[in-house]
Amino acid sequence: MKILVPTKRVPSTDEGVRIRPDGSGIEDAAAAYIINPFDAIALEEALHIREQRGSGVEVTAVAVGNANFESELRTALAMGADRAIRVDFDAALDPWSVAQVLAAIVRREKPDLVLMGKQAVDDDSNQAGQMLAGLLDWPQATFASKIEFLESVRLSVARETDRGLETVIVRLPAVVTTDLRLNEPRYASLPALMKAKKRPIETISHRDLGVSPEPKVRIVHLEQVAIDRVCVRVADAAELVHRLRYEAKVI
Amino acid sequence: MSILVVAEHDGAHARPGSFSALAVARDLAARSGERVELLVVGSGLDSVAADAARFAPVIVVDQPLLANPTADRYAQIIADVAKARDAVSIIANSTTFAKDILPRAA
Repeated sequence: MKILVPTKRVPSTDEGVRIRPDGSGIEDAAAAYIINPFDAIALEEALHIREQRGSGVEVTAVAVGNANFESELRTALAMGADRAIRVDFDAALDPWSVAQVLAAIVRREKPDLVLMGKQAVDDDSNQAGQMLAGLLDWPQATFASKIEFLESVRLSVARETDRGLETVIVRLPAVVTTDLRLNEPRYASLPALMKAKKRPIETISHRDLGVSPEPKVRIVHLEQVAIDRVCVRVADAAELVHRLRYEAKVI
Repeated sequence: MSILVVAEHDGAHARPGSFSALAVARDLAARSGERVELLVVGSGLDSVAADAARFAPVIVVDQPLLANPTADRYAQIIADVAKARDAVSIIANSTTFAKDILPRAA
């Protein structure tokens, strides 16, 4: 069984990001980068499936981006991925163009399952997995919080929805996107990270795949939201009413 | 040319969030002159359709197989209806229902 885990390199949400003065994007050099947490959850799940099965499962991590993306792929290898592929690409991507590249990788690698984060924490799009499933005409199960094999070709997936947990059954091959409650990813140990530096990462050009990803969405402007509020503590309800009526003039 | 609003429902009524989406659609249409239409998909939709029809023309796709929203079927229907109705935009309220289905329809 082959599991493909698309991963994305994203700025760490713990450190602040700085926006370029012209609003065209974030300051790349200043940001600390990590593997998208939702993708780490997907990878953890793939590794868990491999451990449960004992053998016969190959887990491949894939990333679409420039050479900087190799560091997150090495994290994936250190966590336990069998292989890592980088599709070399160094221009703007949107969920649509990412889905096209991933579809080409799927046609090449022929996985039984694509397991990926439901969204990336830099843009929160939550679209690429669904678009990929649509392009491949595969079943999809999004926002997964529990995955179980019914037989080797059918999965039961509990999905987190606004109304509670919904369980769907999908037949492989399928695209499953992962939500936060699915698992807690393991940390890559330092020895594993050191070993991963020597592991090969297969690099493919998007041209070799036959895709020229053209984003349909262009980011026009980025700006920091200015929060301009002042909190005031009041002594009691009477003071609150007084302030609302005579100062804020809203009642 | 039209703007298609994908309404979410509970089997009896359209969910309130669908009307937020409708408001956005009307706002866009006011500037560009497209007609606004509501799309309701599912099974046993007479009550939902009647409820939705109070606000805008409704396109109803009613089939037993569509009783539960599955992304593959619903996305196909939304795409087909959008093409048939010459839709320039598809609008929906940002819920897990729409987030699951609309990107695939796109």
